[in-house]
Amino acid sequence: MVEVIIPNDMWEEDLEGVIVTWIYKTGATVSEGDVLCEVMVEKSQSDLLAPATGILTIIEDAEAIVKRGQVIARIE
Amino acid sequence: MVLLDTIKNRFEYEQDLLRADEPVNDILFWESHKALAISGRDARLPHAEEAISVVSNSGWPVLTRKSGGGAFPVASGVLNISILRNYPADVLLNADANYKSLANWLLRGLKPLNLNISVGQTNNALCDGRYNLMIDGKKFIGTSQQWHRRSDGSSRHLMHCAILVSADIKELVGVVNKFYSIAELNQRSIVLPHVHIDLCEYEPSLTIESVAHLIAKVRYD
Repeated sequence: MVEVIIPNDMWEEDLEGVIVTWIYKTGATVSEGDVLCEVMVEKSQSDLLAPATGILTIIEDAEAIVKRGQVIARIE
Repeated sequence: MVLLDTIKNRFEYEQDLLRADEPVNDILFWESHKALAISGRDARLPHAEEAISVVSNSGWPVLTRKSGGGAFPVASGVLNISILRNYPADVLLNADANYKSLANWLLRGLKPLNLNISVGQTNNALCDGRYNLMIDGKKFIGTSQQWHRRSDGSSRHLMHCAILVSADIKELVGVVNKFYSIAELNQRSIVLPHVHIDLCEYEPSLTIESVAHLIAKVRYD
């Protein structure tokens, strides 16, 4: 099982971001390197890529407020 | 300098460049006819569909953009700059560092105007953020960015800024307030015209073209 984590280097300070949209739904098969979701903080929108290939389980839905280092999904 | 037929073409062009096989490093200066650019989040607000319809019918086509932030209007008198960069896999995606680079570039470009420019937040401003540029505390430049990560680990980066040169600020503010007043169940905050300023209020001879030339003279690092 691999966790999908908001990277610690995505922004400098202890700000909160928001998950704008998920490209895949829970249960979808994703491949390493696929764009999984879009995250926005401070008017900066970033793609988050799948760290592994497998079945996606979303933990934090779109519109969820997230912090750096937070687990937002799992891939098994 | 290009006056686009529609802003839709501009945003599609930028997204095509971000996703192109060949990396693009370019700076684009552009002006657009009237349009309201909203984010994907704005488009999912409870009454967004009705708001889009009302605003569109009032002469402001509405479209969704990918870069971050709230709704912002573009129109004659607003200079837009899009900066496209390609970064290798070992470069960190640091939004703050890029905002600071952009702000420094704009400050160096506008230095000959001898204005009291600062960087920061502007309460009740259009598409507010921590990296607005202000003259005497009034916002005249807004910034946003988008990272597109590629499967090989490299990143394509788009920075955008909009500069109020000779815009009708009351009209720009009005269209944003109209959109949110309809789209949201509880309108978060009202945008106020007097917290903005046009560059032309300080130097009436300035034009979109002259401001673009001033900034383009300075190298973007």
